Amino acid sequence: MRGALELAVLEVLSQETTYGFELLAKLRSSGFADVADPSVYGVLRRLETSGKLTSELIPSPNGAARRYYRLTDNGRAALARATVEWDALVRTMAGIRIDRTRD
Amino acid sequence: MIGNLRPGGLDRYLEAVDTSLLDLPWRERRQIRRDLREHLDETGIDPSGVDPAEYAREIRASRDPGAYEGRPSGVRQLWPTLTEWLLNGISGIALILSFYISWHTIHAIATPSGGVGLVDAYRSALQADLPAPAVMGQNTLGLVVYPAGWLLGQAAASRALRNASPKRRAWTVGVAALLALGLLFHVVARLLA
Repeated sequence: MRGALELAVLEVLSQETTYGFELLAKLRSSGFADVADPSVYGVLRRLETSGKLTSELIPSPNGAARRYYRLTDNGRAALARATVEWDALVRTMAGIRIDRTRD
Repeated sequence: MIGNLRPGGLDRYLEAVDTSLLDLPWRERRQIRRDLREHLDETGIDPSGVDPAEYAREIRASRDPGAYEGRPSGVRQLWPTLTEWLLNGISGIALILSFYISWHTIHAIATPSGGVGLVDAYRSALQADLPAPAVMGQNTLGLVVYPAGWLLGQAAASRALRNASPKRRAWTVGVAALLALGLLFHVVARLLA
């Protein structure tokens, strides 16, 4: 599931720049209902370490400063590759399920 | 205050995460603590229901594969936690003993009337200050016991502490600290006698 979560984070960040809590809320409302904060935190760190995203700490008028995450070109390329791989996997799984239904 | 965490609770939680990452360089761990605190402050998430080891596992997995990993001791670390104080104390004692034995060895070689070789001088230093145990009836073989024991101890402690629970880690470090202090007192008592 780690790969799926990474892809989901890349996908969300490709649509908008966002901060940790909002990203977690978005993932949970999108179907990753049980995703835990350590997992998302780990994915964000990993993506940042590998240069797929950058972050910037911006002061917030409502409380603690927020770290906003933004996809890099490297991240967009990784998302494009991962999406192709994901689509292929989905087609493969669908094919297996059809075969099982026929049996 | 974050979520249901009581004042000081976040510090203890971060320390629990940190003790699962003791084998990482202290500079990196200091940054990890800072980042995680910032993250928890920002999200307002109460981490008390989450096992600290879970954050540690994710953080470890997010590291650059080529990043340094090493033993939980040595000059690369400062002492921000009690565990590290003890670990570094043990390393420090071992270092002092090493210097002390080296000094005696060099002194024996350099003495004009001595005229002894390196092995003899080393044996003499060990036998005078820390009697080397005889292995298979030979004291010379016993000379390898201290340095080899120290190296093996470092490696074993590193391996054992890496995935140990905080309780087990505390016990391991506590026992090792007592043994090291006992050895130091023994040497000091011999010197003063």
